[in-house]
Amino acid sequence: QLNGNSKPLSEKPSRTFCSLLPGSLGREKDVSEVKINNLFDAYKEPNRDVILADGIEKLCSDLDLSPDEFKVLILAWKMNAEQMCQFTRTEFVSGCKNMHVDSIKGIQQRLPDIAAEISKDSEIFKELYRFTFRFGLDVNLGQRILPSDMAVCLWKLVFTGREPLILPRWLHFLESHNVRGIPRDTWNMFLNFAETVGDDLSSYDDTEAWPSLFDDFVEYENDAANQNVSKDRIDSNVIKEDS
Amino acid sequence: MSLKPRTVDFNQTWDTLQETVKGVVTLGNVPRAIWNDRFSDVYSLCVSFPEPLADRLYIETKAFLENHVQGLLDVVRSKGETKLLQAYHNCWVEYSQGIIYLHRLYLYLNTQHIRSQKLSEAEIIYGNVTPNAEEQMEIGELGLEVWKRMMIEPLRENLVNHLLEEIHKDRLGNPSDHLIDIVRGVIMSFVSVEEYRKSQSPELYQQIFEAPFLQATGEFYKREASKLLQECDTSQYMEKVTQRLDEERQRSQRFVHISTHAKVKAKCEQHMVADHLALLQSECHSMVVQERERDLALLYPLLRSVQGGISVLISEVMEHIKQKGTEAIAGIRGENYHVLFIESLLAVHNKYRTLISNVFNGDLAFIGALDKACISVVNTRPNPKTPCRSPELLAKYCDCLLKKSSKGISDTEIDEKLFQSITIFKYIDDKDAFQKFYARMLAKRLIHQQSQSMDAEEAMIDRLKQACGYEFTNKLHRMFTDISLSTDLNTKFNAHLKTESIDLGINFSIYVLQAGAWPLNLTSLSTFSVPQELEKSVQTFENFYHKHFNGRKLTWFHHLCQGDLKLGYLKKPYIITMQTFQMSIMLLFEDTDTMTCNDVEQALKLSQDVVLKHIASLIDCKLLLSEVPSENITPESVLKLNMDYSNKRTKLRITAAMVRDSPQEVEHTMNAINEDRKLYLQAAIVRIMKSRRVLRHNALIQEVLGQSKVTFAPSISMIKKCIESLIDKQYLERTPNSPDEYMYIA
Repeated sequence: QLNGNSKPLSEKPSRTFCSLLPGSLGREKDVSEVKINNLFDAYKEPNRDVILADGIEKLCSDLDLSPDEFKVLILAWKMNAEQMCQFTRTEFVSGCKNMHVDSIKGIQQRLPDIAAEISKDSEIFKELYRFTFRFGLDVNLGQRILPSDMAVCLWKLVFTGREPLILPRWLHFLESHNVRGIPRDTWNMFLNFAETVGDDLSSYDDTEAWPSLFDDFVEYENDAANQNVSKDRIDSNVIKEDS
Repeated sequence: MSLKPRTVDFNQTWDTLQETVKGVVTLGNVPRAIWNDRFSDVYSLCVSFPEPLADRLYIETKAFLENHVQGLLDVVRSKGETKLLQAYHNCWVEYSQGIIYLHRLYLYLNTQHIRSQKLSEAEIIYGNVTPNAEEQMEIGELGLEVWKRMMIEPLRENLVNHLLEEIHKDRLGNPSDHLIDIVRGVIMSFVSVEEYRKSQSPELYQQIFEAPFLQATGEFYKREASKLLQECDTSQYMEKVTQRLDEERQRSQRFVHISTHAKVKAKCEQHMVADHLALLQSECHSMVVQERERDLALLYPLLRSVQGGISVLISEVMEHIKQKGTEAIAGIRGENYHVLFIESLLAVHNKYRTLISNVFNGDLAFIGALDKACISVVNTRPNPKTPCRSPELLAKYCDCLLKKSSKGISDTEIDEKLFQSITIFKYIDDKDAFQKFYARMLAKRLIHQQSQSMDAEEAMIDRLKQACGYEFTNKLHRMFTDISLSTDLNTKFNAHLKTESIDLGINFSIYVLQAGAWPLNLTSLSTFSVPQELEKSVQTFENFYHKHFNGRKLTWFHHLCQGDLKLGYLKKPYIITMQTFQMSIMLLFEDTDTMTCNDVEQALKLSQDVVLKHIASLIDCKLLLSEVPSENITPESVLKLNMDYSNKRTKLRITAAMVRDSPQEVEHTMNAINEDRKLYLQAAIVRIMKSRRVLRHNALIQEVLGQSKVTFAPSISMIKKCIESLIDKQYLERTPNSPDEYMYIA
């Protein structure tokens, strides 16, 4: 599928290029910018040119989705949304064009396709995964580190349907320890971490370039396995971010 | 006599020549004239006309020598087995010397005829020509060759057996004394007989004598070792072996060729040490633990002689020193903890340093073990959570020595102790921590003028500089500079006062300290309203200073200042040295005899706890009176000037209210150290990455460790966190193709 590629495009897709290609699906020609704009207008705030929480809630219910569903995350990714609970007109229009949809029905049909692509191609998933971190940051606060509770939610969400074996223990570790936040590198590396260790932390090598939070996690887990959790030891190792 | 070639009758000439040859070879008396004539006979034969007779001469001479040696062989044989060595040796001594003379007699033949046939060395090496077996030899060589072929070959087995027999007797301790020279002579004849063969090992000697000799040696010592092991304990065994080795060394020198010495030694060591290495090594532990110096001194050279043998001893020694070091500091308690701690460590270090130089010959491998053991002891943490205390204790130790209070020991002794402390300093991993503590204590000594001698202070800093480099002592040096600059400044200020005829009403001197160099905490400053009596001085100095150094900001550290206060209201006048805050409180009583703590606080605008602390100190030394004991005073307590104060001395110093090194202060220092380390590590990482651009995780860690080991030993996890924080600040990123590799972002 030519345009279903995972890149959250910020540049305008070239219409001529698409339409010239043989084999382009018929419905692509039908994508109408006017219709997309009308769709946007239906959900936007009355006095501002942006879709906010209320609009999104409405959009979700029209799409027959719950706002905290994986597909909504895909939608946000496709829109390349700058931040949660908000679509700007540019994001919405270029996102829809990118997905080649201009109606609620179109979106509804398209989302399962994309979800299927993601589950097939781990590179595409990686794009979504990395997007998720940025998506979770609060732009207004100028956050660069994802607060721990938010990270836990997003991890659960982004791994819908492909949950790594280690995830429950990891999330439990984060919730039970005073971890202030997850830096981008730790977020990105978790994907490698989950792949490398699987369910077996004995293969973990702390001389490799893992972020130190994983060291703490593995040490905690191993201690727990050895029946002598020393809680305050871990606490003293907990990330202290110096900004 | 003419040198012109002429016809020569070979037979006639050879007949006469042969007579002389016989005389020469048997060392008979050959008169000079005859010698000269025969010498020219050789010449005439070689150049004779119509054809040279050199080859014929050579053949005849060879035949003669063979004949002669055959005769000698018969003589030797006829003496019988028991006298074989002697007979052989006698013949050899005569023959070998005779051959040397004969060689000279045939000089012309040798140099002109034979040498010209010989291939040059270059031809042998580069020209693929194999030397012809039938090639003619110079007469000296020919003679020896004949000896080898016709004398040694037939006798070799008998000879060697007799030789080995004699050496064996010597080993057993009953040598045939008269045979010593003969045995050596016979052995060396195997070498000499081949001396014409250039730059080659003595093949014949090795083949016929050395090989069986070494084998016999090996067997002998194998038996000897197992015999000794049955008879003695380990230390006796080592003693015997050492003695045996020494004897054998002398024996080698006495009997055999120099090329064999090392081989004999190796053989002996193989059978007496290496074969029983496990046994010797198993004794290491108890010897080391019981510090049996004599045994160790015996053991050391033995183990050293065996490849890899010494390592067990080294690690035993290391463990032992570690153990002793740990024991030495384990039981220390009490006020003098730091002194005892450092001196106990030094005692251990000195003890084993001496032991190593006495017993192990100062072997560097053992010095290395000592260092490792000391490093381990010095840097032990009683608890993994707390930092190691050694840096602090060592700094305190130096502080004690450099402070005025260290009474009862002489300057040279202090100097010696400071010198020794460098030994411990070098073992400390966290040198940066030491530096922080040292700087703080130095600052206190300088500000409160507590230094015993400035020379000693400077000498110590120089030593630290030598050990750790300029960067390390930079701040300490700057502190010194400040102190000496301040002396100048005070002189200038006083001159200024004179020329401007300003009267401050008091004597005034000041230290101006640079903000960066001194470990002084700006945040600990409290508000303070300077008493009227001092205000003029402060003001005048500020004006003076700003005129000289425009734009510099002065901050007054009143809590570090002191003054002399003269008390005139008592029976005797007293001059009391006290802190500025204490003095300010006393000055308030200029106009009144009673006031409450609250009043004091209001007047001085100091924070309450500071005021109360200082008031308490004044109550404690009885200058002020209150109704409640000093530790219970409250802001409402009423203070009274003690009009009955008396003291034996009229000039004294009262104790300052400052708390001594509080735990918070130590913790504060530790935190400062940690912050500095993070910055240091991040700077190091950025520096490394800037030059390398791309680097793998482990390589980066290694480089960082390498760079930082001069000042401290960072934990891997600390380095990791610094890397993470740099990734976060976007100085670094992981390369797209490997999560284990970092890239510098310009």
